[in-house]
Amino acid sequence: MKSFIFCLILAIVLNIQNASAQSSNWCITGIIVNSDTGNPIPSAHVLTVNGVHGTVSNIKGQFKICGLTQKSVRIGIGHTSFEYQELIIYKEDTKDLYIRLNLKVYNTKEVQVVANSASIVKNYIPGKMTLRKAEVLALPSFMGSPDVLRGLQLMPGMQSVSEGNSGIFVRGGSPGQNFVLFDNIELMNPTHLMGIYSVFNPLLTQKVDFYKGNAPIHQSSRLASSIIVSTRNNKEGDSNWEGNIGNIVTNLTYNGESKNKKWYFSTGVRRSYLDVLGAMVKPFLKDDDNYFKKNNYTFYDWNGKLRYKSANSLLSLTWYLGQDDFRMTSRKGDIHSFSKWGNKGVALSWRTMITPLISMKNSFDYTAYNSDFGAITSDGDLRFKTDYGQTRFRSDYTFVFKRSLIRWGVELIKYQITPQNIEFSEYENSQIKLNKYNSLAAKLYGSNYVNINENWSVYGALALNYYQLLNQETEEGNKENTNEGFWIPNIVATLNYNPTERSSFKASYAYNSQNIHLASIASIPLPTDVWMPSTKNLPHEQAHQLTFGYFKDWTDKKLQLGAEAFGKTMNHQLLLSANIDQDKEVAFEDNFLQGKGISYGCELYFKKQVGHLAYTLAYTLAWAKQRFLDINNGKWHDAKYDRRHDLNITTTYALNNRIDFGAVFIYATGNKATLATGRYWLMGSITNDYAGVNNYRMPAYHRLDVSMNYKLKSNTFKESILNFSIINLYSRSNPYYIYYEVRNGQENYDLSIKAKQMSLFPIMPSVSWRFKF
Amino acid sequence: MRLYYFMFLLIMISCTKEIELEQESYERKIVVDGWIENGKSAQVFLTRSSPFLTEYDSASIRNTFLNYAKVTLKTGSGETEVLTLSREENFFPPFVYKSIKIKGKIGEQYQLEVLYQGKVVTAQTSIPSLPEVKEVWCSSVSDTSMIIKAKLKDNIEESNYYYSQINVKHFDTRFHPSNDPLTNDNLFDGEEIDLQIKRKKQPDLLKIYNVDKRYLLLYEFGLTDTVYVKVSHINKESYEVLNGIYTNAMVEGSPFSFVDQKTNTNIEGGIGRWTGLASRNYLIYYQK
Repeated sequence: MKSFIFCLILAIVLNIQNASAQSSNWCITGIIVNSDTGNPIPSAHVLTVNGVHGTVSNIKGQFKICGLTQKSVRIGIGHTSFEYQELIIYKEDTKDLYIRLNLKVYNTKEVQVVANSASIVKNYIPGKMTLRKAEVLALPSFMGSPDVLRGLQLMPGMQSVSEGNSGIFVRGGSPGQNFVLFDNIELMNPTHLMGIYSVFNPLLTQKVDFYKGNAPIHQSSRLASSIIVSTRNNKEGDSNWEGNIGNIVTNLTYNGESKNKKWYFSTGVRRSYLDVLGAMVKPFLKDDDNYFKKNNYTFYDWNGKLRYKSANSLLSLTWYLGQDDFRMTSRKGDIHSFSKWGNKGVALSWRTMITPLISMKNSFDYTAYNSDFGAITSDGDLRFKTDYGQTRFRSDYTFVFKRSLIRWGVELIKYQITPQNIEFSEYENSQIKLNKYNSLAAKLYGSNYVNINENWSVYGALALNYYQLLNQETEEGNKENTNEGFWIPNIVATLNYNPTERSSFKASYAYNSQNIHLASIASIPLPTDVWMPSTKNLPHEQAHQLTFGYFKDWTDKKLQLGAEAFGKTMNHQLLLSANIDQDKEVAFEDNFLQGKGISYGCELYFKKQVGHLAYTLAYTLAWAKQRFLDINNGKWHDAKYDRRHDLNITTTYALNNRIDFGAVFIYATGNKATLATGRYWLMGSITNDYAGVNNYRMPAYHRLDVSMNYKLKSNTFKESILNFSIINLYSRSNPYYIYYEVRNGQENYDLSIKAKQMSLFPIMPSVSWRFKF
Repeated sequence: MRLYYFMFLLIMISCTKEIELEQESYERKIVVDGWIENGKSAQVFLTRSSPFLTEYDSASIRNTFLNYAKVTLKTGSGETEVLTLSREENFFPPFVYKSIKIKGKIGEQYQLEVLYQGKVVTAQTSIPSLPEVKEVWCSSVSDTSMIIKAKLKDNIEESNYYYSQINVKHFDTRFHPSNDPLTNDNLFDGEEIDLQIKRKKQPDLLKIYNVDKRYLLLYEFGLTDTVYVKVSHINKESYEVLNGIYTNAMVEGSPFSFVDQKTNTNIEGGIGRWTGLASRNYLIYYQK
């Protein structure tokens, strides 16, 4: 009887379980691949975050998990060489998943499930944005050349472009507070042609990650932002060559891979040809009338990557070389001036899996920036030079342990900076003024990203920065050792709460510092702005930033929404005083003004796709203020780049397989400027009376750009696209600057004073051709 | 200087248009343009400043003259004198407050006090030591032009600030600053240098003086010119004020306003300058 009852119960239980499995159990199947190479990843752990179900991918990267009962499940994908990631899978998504994991180069939370694009909800750093090559190429191009930075400037938090201003302004930060990393090489001035183009070759760029002052600790080096630009790591498609011929710039790139896919090589060259235009018109114009003969502006850049990979290791060599060169002769021919500036850098990196649980990346890089401005006049010669050199070694480790991604590392940097090297030959003997600084920095850091449960996750990071100014060389070659080293901590912490799978509340706090300053002499950024290392009298710039955000996406509606508020305080901000020869200088550091800054505001992001139409809206409401003891009597005042409203609307529309359209509308409150409010008569001239620095708000900036891509049929080319772009469609005269013009009237004792506005770019149509073969 | 050249590039590709701006509220200030030189009377011109975007012609400038002020000069050694208003056709405005009794002395302090409609503005300056000028000479640089240089022996024991003025006979009506008139000894402390005194036309915005209209290369004088040259020491504060005023004039109309742009003055309660000059005077003409 007992055995009968047991058999009955067993039969009932089995029957119920079986019935349940038949009615609600479901499975996830898929394949996991390396996002760089597309190769399958074996031995990746796929687990539901509650730890009940799990499996390991096979040699083909395939996996299958069954026995799931909930309508949706959160799974984690872990592998020692790849970033740990989590995904939410819905029961109705029964198709095979195609999951791309990033090697542990950047902690960027990049998972892409085909048909489910990366969501702002899933980033564990609030406000992080990612821009991809396709998005850059879809935007209207300036003079026929697409540009990465212009794409980035359409995102919330970064100021949209303004007339002739090359600086990158993020959340009230100045241009020197952005960490720009291009394939492991730090670039100190990421622009060409006075800010019209950025130095990143758009055809080789794979993606740009943009953090607004709260980057993960291993990617944090400045107060305002981290802009991490990566070029491709594997061959794209079946073509080797890709190029773009624009109105003033030509771009040619090559990428190729060995048959066994172990070797990969890519390189790209861009060059402007304004000088070529000058040579072309030479037969038709006298030299005196030939603008390009007297004035020459050229720029070029060359970057590349050589990569080798084995089973567990990846070795890559990357480089960048770029230069702007401008020469001009005055109308009378008595003044010849030139200005050139450029970045150069090289990086060697090696990443490998030490054990199945620990991976390591070591990199060694060198970067240099120099600018050289000179003038040859009847009085003599005059040169201003700046030189910046930085050598860096870095060792970075990651370790996946249960629900944690632990990361630690060390970084050593040697700086060699000559902020200003001035040579005069105005007097009978040449005068040289030189100050060269050598300093050393070290950074020890550790971080942990923990998934506490399905709703909560936290990221905490601490870095200890050591800095020492080793010595200072003067023009006589003397070396002074005056500074002792000191430690300064940096902290980044974020907290994520996901009330549902598709929405999240995020908060972050960051305390950052930076070892170097970029001091501007004028009200707009110039290539000759001075990089200055921290010294005893010019301490580290420091910032505290607090952000709160809410992010939500509706995958079925192809809609994403983000709202974020931020507040930031900054200390030891630096400006270069204009009147450097006012007094006998005790030290070069006496040329600088030090102050504080504060900024706060909110950002909105809205992205939607309807059929073939996709549009993005980014809006920033912000305040940026500063206080310097020697400016405006030490009172708080608006920063030059204080901008109340910044609205960018980007749309793309694919008409068919051959034609697509793009449009961008930008509206921005005018920047602040310094204008005189009164005037007085002194020493026989009119002199201006100023009410204070940045006392005037310029008129608003707005413009509409449109573009069309037309794919040509070709048997020769694998891709052949004509791009038609119109920048500033309604030819808005946006203010570059405003000035007063004083003119003598027709009669004696007559004067007229007019306010005038200068604008740089009227309507600018262009045609370019992009090709692959 | 470098800003100046960058400006060219942008101007070449740009366009301009006139715009309407609204005048911000502005409180008019008392403007002092005064100096005292060794062996000479103090001279003070008084005007009021105007809101920027208002009519500004000779009539409105005349309305800014302050002819009913009480201007008192006090020396560091206790002398006091109320300055007397007199007419001076070489200047515009042609009314100057002058001292009769007090003449400038080397090493003396001078305090200026202006009382106008119950408002008091004050200023302080001094006349430093005389500059050591070994010689001032000219040399021809073409068939028609010459340059003028001054050989200075800088005093290593103190910081020195130099200010040069010129008056070209038959062309100028008075002394006015030369081109690049200010120099400090940062680059030649304690050394002997040749400083070029550069030609500049007398300021004549209102076209009163019918200034020198000859075409000469920048900074050069005509071979037939007779030039009065004044090389002065001024104190640090005066140098900073004058240097600030010239620097502001240089960047006016450009986008490169300096980060710390302000109205440079050493007048308490008003604006302008009060300068003490220790001057040496020279008469220069070309001899074959």
